[in-house]
Amino acid sequence: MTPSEPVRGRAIAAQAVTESRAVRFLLIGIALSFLALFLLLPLAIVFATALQKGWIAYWAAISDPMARSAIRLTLLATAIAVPLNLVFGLAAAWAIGKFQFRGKQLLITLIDLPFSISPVVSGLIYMLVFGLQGWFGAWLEEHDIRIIFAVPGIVLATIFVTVPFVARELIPLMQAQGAEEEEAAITLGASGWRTFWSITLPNVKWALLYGVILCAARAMGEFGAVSVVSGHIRGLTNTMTLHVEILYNEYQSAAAFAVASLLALLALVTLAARGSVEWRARQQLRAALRRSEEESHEH
Amino acid sequence: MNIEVRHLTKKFGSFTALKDVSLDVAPGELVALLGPSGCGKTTLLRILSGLEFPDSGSILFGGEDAAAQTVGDRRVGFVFQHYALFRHMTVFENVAFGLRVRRENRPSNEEIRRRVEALLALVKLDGFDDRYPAQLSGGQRQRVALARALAVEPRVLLLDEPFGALDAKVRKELRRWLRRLHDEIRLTSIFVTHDVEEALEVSDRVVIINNGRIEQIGTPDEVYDHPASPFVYRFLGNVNLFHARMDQGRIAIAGAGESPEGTEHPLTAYARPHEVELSRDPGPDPALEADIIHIQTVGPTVRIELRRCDTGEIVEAELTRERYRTMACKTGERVHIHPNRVRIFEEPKN
Repeated sequence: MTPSEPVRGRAIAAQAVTESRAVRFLLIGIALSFLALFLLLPLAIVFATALQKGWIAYWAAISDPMARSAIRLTLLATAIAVPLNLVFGLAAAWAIGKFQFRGKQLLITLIDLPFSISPVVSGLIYMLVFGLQGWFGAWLEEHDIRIIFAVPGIVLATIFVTVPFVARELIPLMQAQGAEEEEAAITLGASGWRTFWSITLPNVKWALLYGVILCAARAMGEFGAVSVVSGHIRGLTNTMTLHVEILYNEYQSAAAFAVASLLALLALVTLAARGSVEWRARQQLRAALRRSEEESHEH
Repeated sequence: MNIEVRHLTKKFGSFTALKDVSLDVAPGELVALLGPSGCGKTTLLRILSGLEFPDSGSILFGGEDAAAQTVGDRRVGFVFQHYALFRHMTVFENVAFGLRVRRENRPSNEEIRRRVEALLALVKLDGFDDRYPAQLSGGQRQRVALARALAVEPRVLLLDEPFGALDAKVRKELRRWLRRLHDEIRLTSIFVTHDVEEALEVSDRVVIINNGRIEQIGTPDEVYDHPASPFVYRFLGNVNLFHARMDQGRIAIAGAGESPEGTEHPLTAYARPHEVELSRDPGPDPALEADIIHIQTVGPTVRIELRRCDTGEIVEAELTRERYRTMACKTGERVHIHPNRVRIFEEPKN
């Protein structure tokens, strides 16, 4: 059998299950107009409104000390949350993918918890635990540690809502890959650490990067949980999303949209990064497949 | 190096994978662990490699207790059923891995290159250095896995269903090749298989395992010609069962009317299809009558299915084409069957 045969077979199968041309155009048209209406149009409006009063006003809005402080805080929270989730996600996916233990299903459910809880509720949980009237409130007050209405609270809330991203990307992949390659490395005399760096990590690197990108995007865009624990102290505990809200509520819509456009830009950058990661992973796979196809031609 | 396995027991929860297993493997021997799936043979192999730990019992490698040794210290080469090649590494790097991860006396880069090239030549894969596992055929991957396991100069080679994932033709080629390779390098090797033909063809000795227990250990001829238990007899090939009884110091196959009741020791006679003779006349021995219900030619042999006239039981006979031609029997014909070589086991008491 030549390698082109299955391909031809697939094409015929695709024809057999496909719809007529008109139906296809209609479906694609609906999907595209939906995208345009709900995604592209708002994005365009964000940038248009941001630049409504010209570039000078735009620059003034984003170089305002309060705005700069908000940007710094958002980047700080992201810079702390992402590496922590990276480590946690890898550890959790490693444990779930490679070992059999009691309570595995429970762990998977727990990892998904932040997806199912409203961010506002998770913010409130932190209030209950660390707030002045909360469980540790008195003790924290005594030792002069501020978590709620301060930077640590914002970082904690950001970590909580982004917990699932890295783990969720890695778990299915690691489960599918199994532990055989690691076992092989160990029988060849590699240490656990060496096995992790030379076998496990290279096998999941694209999925890991993809998870990190998603996690970063979510960390920067988080609003609900952060809003509850922040206290909205300008220049101190305001993140970019909160800053946008304040500006908008003060009828400074051009300034609000200017900061929002920065968030949108960050999102676009992440989207591009995500696209290129996906593209590279696919590219690698395709190259491998092409080479093996040439191989079977030779035989 | 010789291996001694003493009273090994392993449980997974309530499932007993191995029950009091003892086994000796001589240096340079090629031993097959043969049994149906789930019989514990792979568990035994994994315990030998150090990837799994026994609940009780011990393993001695060259007289040394292996319990104190880590997987790496045992110097065991393990070839996985699905090869477990490192997918992101080239063939060269796969084979070199065991040398590169050495913490002490790691060979120089030139030395590693020299040794990997030599191993790739040994497994007939010279020039494949830069390929990735995804670009290789199943048989080639299997040979890379073997070269990788040999790179660490193991004292023992363990292979888990080494040909299980290959198609029939490649499988046959590769197992002959493995046998020749073993004769060349004389490394103590143990492989797991559920394929009887493979075990009998390749190994010096066969260990037949069932339900976590060793049923029989012996050379391929010994286990085939003198099976120690009904299980071994059935597992090694097709078989016909005849109820039998002791008759004045002689064993006689019982017809329908004469059930083994009343006799002290009800017996079962086992005969392989090729040990069943067919003829048109009853002959000197009491022969059973049967009707031919199906005739099928499979390559050089002819399989004939018969139904006994007395009990209605199905009997299978295997004739050479020549014998079939001279006899010229047809479907529906009534003939006599003579099991010319039977093995007797006592029937289990109810």
